[in-house]
Amino acid sequence: MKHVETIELMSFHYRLFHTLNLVLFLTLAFTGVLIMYTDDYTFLQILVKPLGEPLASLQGLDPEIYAVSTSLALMRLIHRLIAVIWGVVIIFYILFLLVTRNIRVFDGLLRSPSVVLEEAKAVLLHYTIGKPIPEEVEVKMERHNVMVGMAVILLIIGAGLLMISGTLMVFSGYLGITSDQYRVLLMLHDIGFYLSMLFLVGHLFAVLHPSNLPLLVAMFGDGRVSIEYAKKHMHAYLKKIKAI
Amino acid sequence: MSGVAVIVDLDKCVGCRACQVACQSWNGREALITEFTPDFTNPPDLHANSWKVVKFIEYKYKKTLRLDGTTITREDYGWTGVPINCMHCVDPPCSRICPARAITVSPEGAVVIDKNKCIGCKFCGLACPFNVPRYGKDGKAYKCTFCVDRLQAGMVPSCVAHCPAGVFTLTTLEEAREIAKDLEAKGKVVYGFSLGSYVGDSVRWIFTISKEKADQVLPKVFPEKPVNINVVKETLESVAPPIFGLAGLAIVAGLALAWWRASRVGEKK
Repeated sequence: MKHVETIELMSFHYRLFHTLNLVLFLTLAFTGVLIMYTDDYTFLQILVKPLGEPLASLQGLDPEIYAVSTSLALMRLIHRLIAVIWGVVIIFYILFLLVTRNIRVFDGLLRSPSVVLEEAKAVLLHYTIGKPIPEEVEVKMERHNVMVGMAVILLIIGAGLLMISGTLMVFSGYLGITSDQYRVLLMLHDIGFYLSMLFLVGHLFAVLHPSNLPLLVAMFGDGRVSIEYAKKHMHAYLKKIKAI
Repeated sequence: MSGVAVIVDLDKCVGCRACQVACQSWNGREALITEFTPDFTNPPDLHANSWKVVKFIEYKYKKTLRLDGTTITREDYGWTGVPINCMHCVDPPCSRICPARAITVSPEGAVVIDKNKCIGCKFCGLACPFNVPRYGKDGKAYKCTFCVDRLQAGMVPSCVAHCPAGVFTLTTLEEAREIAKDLEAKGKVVYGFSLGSYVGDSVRWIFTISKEKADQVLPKVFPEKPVNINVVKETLESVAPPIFGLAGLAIVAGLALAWWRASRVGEKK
């Protein structure tokens, strides 16, 4: 059997955080979409009804009439509870990265604009029409390419809006927030959600792309990829950490 | 348009607050601790336990005295009571936005919240251009029900029944429209019709007041034209599903193409 030399790209804590983030964010998105859209889409009502029926019965309400609303009340409760956990997880992880000085995601962007633009163009063409990344671009690639850096900025804005507006809405009673202010907060919460969904759309495309399959396997596996693969996708980073 | 409506003649209101008490009593709402406000309004605004509040609005008017052939005109101040409650829009935005479908319109036209369905999301309060729904300690929304229980039993709403000054006239929406036309012809200002599509053109509580007071009183209580105050949120809400749906399809198509291309490259190698 051929021995393949590998390198650990994703540590255990990195993968753990990613999985936690994935589960918590998707739960928040799912419950949020139900709260926002159940009234508009019948298929969502069909989806939430089975959960609400026993809950309505437990409260002595007619399940035929109250199943959907009871289910939505539960979704809202879950949304708020998970949001607290998500916030704690994210703040903890950001602090952890700051303390260990291990934030690599913006390395690609912290170079001259011409290099950044050149890499962005090459990566975009590679992902969309399959054009190979030119060698002169490849040798300068960091741990995360510039498109990842840009997507993370989008995520930070989206998640930031979600967290700040969400926290203020939950504590609106204590903070004396008026209806007009609450209305703005809810709108910002929605905008934060849509921005995060834009990130998710781009992220899904990238991780399911054949070029990134080894990274996807590594994220949900042992966190390792072959040196050959890493050389092609993050050459400059490997040199920096003296792996090559 | 079927259903009931109430004409509220503000010129008749003496500010006795009998309507407020009648509402509180019929609906079994908890009493509120009174507090000082700059005017007589008490409680200062609608509340989860106070679904009808008489607002006291000050206005300036000219007073003329005729003494021994001399006429003295001077400015004076007066106040008028404005009993406010849910306006019961013909097409209520609160009902449209409620994700739990907790707010429904009865056959009489009463906009009613089912407490057991309310999930306390506050969307109704954010959609209401008259700032009516209020939230109780349980987080749920509360507001005037138009005494739908009384209406369906052939009675008039409690506030209407107890007003000693005859401020309120319960009628049908069609009749209310005719009455409003007559009142306008007599020089009164009417608020409640031609309010725009956001509320279904009209509300079911129609207010009339004399011209000299109208400009000073009505703008302090009601918006001139109720508009969609959630226009950005609602627009985003309506465009997001098709946009993200298309994005999803684009991802699937793009990935299918990428995987097909990758397999072709693999075959060539």
